[in-house]
Amino acid sequence: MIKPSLRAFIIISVFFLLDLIKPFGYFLSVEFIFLGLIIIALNESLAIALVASFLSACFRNFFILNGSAVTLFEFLFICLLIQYIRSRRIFLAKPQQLFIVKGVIVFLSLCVHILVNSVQLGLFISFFSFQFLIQSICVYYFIDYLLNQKALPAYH
Amino acid sequence: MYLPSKLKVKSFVLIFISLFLLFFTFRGFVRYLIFFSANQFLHYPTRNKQHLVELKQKNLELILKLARYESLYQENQNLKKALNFKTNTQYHLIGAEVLAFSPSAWQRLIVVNVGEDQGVTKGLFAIDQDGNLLGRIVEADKKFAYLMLVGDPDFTASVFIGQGALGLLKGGVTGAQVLYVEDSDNIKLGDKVWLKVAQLSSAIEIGKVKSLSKTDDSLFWNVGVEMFQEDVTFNQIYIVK
Repeated sequence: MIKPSLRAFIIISVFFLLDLIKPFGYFLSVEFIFLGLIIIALNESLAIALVASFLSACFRNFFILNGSAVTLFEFLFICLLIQYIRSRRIFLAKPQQLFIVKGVIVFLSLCVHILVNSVQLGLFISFFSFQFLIQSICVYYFIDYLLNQKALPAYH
Repeated sequence: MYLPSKLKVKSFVLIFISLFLLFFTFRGFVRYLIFFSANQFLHYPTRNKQHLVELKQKNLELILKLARYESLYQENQNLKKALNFKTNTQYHLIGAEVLAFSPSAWQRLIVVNVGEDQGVTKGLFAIDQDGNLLGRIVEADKKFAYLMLVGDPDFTASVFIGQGALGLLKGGVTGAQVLYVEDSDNIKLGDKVWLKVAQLSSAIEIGKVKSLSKTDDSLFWNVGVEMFQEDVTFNQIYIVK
């Protein structure tokens, strides 16, 4: 059984590497490290999620030109928001409702991310934002499905 | 007569809309995946042989061109001497490999493995193996440098269109545009978009004109550009110094 903190660190590291090497180029408009943050915030405790959000923001900022502290605040905000929604106990619903609730949380987080990046850029690119949103949600469900396979350590 | 229930119709519409959204956003990715797989598995046995033949042919063409250019160069040097020219431009290419991409989906930025120690400075242009523009160095450290690709929203460069129309190339994640084009009389669809680097005697091609538009309240034309360099899985670039 892998410790939760180690599991979170492995997820952050692997997703960060995926973002760096971009095996599919720019055809896949997904930020894996942001999805990793959402997965950890949805499944781990508050302390681990906060540390993961801090590390994710730092990793992301290291390789971005003119990276600012906005990323750090954004990631922490998203982490706290997801943890707050978790604390409202809506995750005790049926699996189908859980599926939809998680999708809505991911959707809202991605919208915040798109908004922050668009404001930083000073430009809103509608088609790219839509593409980013749809692809990220699909990739999130795919990763969530992989992580919840019975062959892997329990993760839900 | 069989009539589908309302629930089945709603499910069908929902499934159809989901499939349409998925197809619409993933088409570029699926296309890349299919072509990449086909290239690897279907053409791999004959690819190397064909590539060798092509390289030999290209090598021969280059040898012939080089011989011609050497004589032209000599003639040029003689003329410069005769006219007492003082300037003499020379260039060389610095090969570099891609180390990493920017993790942000809104930036088109790569990190290359050459820096100030190899003579790379801010503002130098980079080209691919076909001589098409890739981007420009925006920051250089001692051992590595940041290259901003043409697709980055912050990328700008003065470019020529066709025979001489001038404009400002503005990058974008969904495609580049040339802005502030005053006169569109000499521009037609398919014209090449290129830029001139001081060190190079020939132009660096960027793409070709795919659209030409102007709004009623604007003084300038907007030119949509179809890039020659679309493959972003390259790992070798050349910096022009």
